[in-house]
Amino acid sequence: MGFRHLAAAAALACTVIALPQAHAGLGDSLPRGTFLIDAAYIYATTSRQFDRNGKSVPLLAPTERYEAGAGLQGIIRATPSVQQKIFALRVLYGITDRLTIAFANPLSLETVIQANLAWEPGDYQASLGRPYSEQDFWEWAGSMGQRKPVNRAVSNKNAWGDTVVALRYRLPSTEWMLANNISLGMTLQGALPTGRDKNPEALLEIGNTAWWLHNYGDAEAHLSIDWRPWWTGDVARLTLSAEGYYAWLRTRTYDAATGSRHPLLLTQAPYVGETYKINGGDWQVGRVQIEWAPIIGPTLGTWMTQGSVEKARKFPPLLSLLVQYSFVNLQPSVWESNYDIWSVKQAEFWGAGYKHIFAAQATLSLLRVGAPMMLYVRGRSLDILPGKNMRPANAVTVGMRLLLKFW
Amino acid sequence: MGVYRETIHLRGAPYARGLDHGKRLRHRIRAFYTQVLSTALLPNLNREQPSIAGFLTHYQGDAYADGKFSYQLLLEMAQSVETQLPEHYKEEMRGIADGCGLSYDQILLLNTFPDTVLAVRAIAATLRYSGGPSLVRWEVKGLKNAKGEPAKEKKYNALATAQAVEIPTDAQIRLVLSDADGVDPKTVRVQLNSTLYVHGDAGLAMKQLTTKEGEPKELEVILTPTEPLAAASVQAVMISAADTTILADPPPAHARFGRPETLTFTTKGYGKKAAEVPNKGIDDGRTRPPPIAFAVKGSATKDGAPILAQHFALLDAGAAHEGTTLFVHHAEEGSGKSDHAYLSWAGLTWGFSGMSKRGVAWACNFSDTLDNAILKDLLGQLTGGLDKAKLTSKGWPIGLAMREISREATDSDAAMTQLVKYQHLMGWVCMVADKDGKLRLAEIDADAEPIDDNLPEGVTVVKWNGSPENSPASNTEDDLRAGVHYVEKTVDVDPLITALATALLGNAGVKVTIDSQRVVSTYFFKSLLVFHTLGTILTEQHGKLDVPAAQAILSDPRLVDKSDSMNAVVFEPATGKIHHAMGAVPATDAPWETFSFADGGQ
Repeated sequence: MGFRHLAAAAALACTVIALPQAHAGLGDSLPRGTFLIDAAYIYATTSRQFDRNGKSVPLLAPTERYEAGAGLQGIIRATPSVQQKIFALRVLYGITDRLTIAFANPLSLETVIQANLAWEPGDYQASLGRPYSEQDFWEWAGSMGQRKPVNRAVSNKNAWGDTVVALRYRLPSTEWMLANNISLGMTLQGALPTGRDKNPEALLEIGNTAWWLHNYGDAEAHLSIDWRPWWTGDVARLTLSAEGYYAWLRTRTYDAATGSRHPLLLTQAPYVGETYKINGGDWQVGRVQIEWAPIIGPTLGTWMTQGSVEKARKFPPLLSLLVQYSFVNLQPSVWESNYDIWSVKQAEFWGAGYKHIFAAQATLSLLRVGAPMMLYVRGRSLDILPGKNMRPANAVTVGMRLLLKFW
Repeated sequence: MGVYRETIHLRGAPYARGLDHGKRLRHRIRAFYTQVLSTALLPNLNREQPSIAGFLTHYQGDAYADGKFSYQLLLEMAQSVETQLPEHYKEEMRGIADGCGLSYDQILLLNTFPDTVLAVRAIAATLRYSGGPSLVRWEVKGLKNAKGEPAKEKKYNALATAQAVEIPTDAQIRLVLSDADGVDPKTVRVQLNSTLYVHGDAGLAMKQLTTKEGEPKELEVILTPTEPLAAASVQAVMISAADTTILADPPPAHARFGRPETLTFTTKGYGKKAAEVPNKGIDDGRTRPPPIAFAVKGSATKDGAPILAQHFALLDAGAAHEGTTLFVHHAEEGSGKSDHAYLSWAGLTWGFSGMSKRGVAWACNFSDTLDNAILKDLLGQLTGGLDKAKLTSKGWPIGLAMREISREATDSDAAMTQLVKYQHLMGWVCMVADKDGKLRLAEIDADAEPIDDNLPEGVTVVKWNGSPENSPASNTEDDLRAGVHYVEKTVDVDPLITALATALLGNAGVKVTIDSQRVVSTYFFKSLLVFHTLGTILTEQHGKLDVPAAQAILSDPRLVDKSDSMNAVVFEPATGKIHHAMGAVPATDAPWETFSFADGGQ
């Protein structure tokens, strides 16, 4: 009994390779010898989840509390909200013009969970002359060693997530593809287990691994296509992209709660077993994207181009706008423990499902005017269209990219 | 919510069947133990340590410190129970322990706690409620006695029948509550049939009555119904109140309430004597129904075949339903015992209902009584002083006694005869129906009377006695019903137990009146309500009853405890079929499934 596993709450906008080129499609690569450093601050928040019927429900299932022989004391209804503050650092390097390698790691600055506990009284208690009030319940629980959980819990302070390593290869183009400005890219990426897991004895806490963030898999394989039908000089004014990828999540083993901190609400190890496993369930993702360059802006010959305006014309436009839609098909997460009933209950909100992700981004590129940086702001929403068995973590990202080339 | 239930067939020697049970239900047993005992009942009982150790100082010792009180207390009680049990049940429990990885002590505790905890609860609840106000006197203003004079104030005595009959329709009802700390008028709640009166309402007047010393220990409550009472009708009044103190330990802090009391009257023209008018109680909208059971046959059923049905409720604790199991025991060849099945939970060697292949079906409801093994054992320890006395309880858990009966009894009468042989731990009402349609109800207590007296022995058998007037649990020859109160064993406690209680509780600063079940049990009026509701339903459906009808009765919201319902069952002893609903809360939310001995019991 007790609180269910707090659903992974604030998935991140953390696409590993998003290139700041004039050709900013989903399958592009960096020019050979070029570094790109991308530093971003992400603020993600969520306060609900979509259940198996696509209905919006709180992140925590209600917890019915009983007193042995005295019936239902009441129902703890928590409507937690989760805020994640993350510094995301990405470093990309163009090994060749076609092959780019990338490293990325989200550094969680902190995760704040507001429990927002509420109480629904249960059965009338003749000996009290009333049903249990919320205060009654926590006084009762306190007399048995169960403290009331704090309303605001902070975790994941300065904690690294799983480290992502990715390789993207821009496939050779046929003459027809070149003639029609179509390119293909392939990306493979994997996550190294450097993230922090949840303390099993904590009620209001989440971890910082790929499973918890639920935004990138332990391994992914992408295939993408970009089409640029409209150009002004060397700048593509419109880029239409599409991508499909498969994300695999490895089975993870977690320690079961022993009740050392929450004896009434979080004691599972005696019957669940000392550990349990979660097979996270893989994802299949389809994504489409449109990028428009409304303002190409001034083009100057600067130190970056040794004074060449011609070279500067190949840089990205001053302003580009992007909208993106992703459909994520979620395969069910399977929980394995000694106690099947518990496992099934835990997986209640982790069955097969899907997400609709909408994103929009504006990028201001200063390359054409002699500053090797790009500033961007990105918004992402997962609840414009309801999903199923998922937690919509909406996010705002503000970032800066630096381009470096040493030879 | 999912539905969780298993059917487990067990064979072989006792240890082997226990081992098989333990292995197959290993994790359910561990979950049941953790969720119902470790994280629910045991810590809750730990809260009672100060009050119990206040007069039984043995429990102040180190062995009971640091949260070990409840486990150690229940284990010691379990070990005293164990001394009474035959080896084959101990062997079976050893097998379960080895199979599931819990200790033998844990399995022993698991198999004895319902009886021992209920016995403790009966005492604790009596203590709790006896500290609150009690209804001591009543009077109907306007009522005349046989001589035509105004009827005098009467001492209150809880009854299963009417307090007074033929009262005027404009009568005022005067009730006097008493408490050593005074009664708080703001907590008084009076319900007349379906109309509620509370402090400040028109129709409810209250006045403090002072003692000679000037202390306000009594509160006079006068109910003047806002509408005239209906003529020739039955009127029921429920009253509850708290005293002026706040009980802070164990938390939560609350006013000290007395037991709600229900009184029944008839108005002029009804025409029956008080003893002929049952006190059917009042549904106050906040009372959870206790378990019920009924048995029907002959003219009551569609085809004349006997049916026994029960909806059992006690404690689910949000978890027990996950461990519900139908155990089918196959007798060893040549043993002369019968195959038998019972509805139970993972880790238990018994249940509260079952049936043998020979066609003897049974169902037991707990019945609150202070005539239990704990007090019986305490009596024997009094000479040694309360500092050495311990709470022990020698006897048989009811489920094991009934399992023995399942193995051996050939019919209902044999079951009754066998039931008398066991020392029982707690109060129970057990209904038995056999394949030939013999319906019996056993009212059981621990027979704790320390001296020979005229009180009933441990088992009182209730059956049809020729007429409804002489058959307190039957409308006709072909039906029998039970709640959780005794219908014939109406005086169950020896006055010496009252003396014992006074000795014990005087040290705890509590004055207690211990009398019969109807006076002290918190279940008494709740039981009357469901008992009579069930009686009405059985009358309405007389001749139309079959398995689906019985199942529908067990699902009737008036009879279902939505929080602590544990299982529901309909037995057909003539055909060897068991129809059960369990694994959900309430149990009747689960689909019904059928097990049949006729199918080879597989």
